[in-house]
Amino acid sequence: MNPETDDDVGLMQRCLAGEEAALRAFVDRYQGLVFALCFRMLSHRQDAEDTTQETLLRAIRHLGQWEPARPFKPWLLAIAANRCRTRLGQRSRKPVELGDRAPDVAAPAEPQALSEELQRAVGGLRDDYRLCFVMFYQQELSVQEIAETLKCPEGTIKTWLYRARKQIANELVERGVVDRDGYELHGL
Amino acid sequence: MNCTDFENELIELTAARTRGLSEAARRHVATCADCRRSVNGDRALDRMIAAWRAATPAPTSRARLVTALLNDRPRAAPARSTPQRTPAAAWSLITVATVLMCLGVALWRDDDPRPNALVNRGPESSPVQALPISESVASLWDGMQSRSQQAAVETVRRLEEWPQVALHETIPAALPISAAEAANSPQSSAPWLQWGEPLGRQVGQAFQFLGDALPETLERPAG
Repeated sequence: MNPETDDDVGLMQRCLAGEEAALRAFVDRYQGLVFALCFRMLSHRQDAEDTTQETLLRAIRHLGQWEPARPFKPWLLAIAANRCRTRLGQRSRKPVELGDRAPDVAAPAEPQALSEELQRAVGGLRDDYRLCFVMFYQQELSVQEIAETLKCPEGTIKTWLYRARKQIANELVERGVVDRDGYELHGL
Repeated sequence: MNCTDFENELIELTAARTRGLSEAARRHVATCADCRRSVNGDRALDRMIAAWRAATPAPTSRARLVTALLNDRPRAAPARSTPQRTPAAAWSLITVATVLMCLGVALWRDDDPRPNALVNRGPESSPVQALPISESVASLWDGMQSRSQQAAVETVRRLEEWPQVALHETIPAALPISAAEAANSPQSSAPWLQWGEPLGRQVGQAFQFLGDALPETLERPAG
């Protein structure tokens, strides 16, 4: 067991006991992590804030189901992933509201715009590809951890990751962000 | 190395977060424009991902989240002031409540002075007397049995009153047969002949009627 896991076990025991300081520490430690995943999955700040809150509330309520022998982060991110999927499912049943997406930028000239361009390409991925991509690059989980979190074989995760990259690269070429030879047109 | 092998190597390198191509892969890239484009695209994408990660905004709702968690605390804490009810406990409560309600209804009906065919068995039962539950159940069973018996007697009585004129007039074969005829008929071994008058005769007529009504092929199979 690594020190981080030991630390998590102690913190979660205090959270289970309803200790206020422990709940504050829990928020400090995991809110940013969960929010980053939700924001990258949903591409919408308010939805990401709401989903982060749902995730952390749910995690604390079901803390008794977490096995202390296993790392806490993948368990928490699995809850976040499920909440994001639910939110995306609700969104797909509602008409798209204007203003939910960033404006269509044809030729971004700044790093911030390039980042938005990449986020747009990530938003166009299939849900499972996107989750895999965000967990790997945003959360820096290993392929093995993602496989455990999403309950998929490691080979599947590797394939999804590669396909996600390939689809993003193709979209960036189509949008003119990167040229056909793979060199970006607008340098970082 | 062909393009498929090269792609497989890229998949493994991506999963391992490295970009160091093998010697065979480098030789392949030098000769394959498509794979060279893939490698260049991957490198550009890696740089964009780094910018994308750095541009992730921070959450702004820490205070709201802490408040929500603190308000939700009683449900999360193991030391609860009120025990959490499990579905099994809820069903037990419902079952106990139902049994108590049935007992209450049974006792109430025993106390009820109004006439009750099932509970008041006769003149010996006092309308205001509260019977124990075992006796109430016994009364209920007796009542059901006496009712069944009454129903059977009533049914036989109505059978006796059935009009037989139409059958005699329209189906000559269904006319009453004498005991001697019955003994010589193909149905002489029929059990209803021992049932006596009038039931045995009526059942015999009914079977005779049905036999005549059946098609010839069914009665006498070919061969």
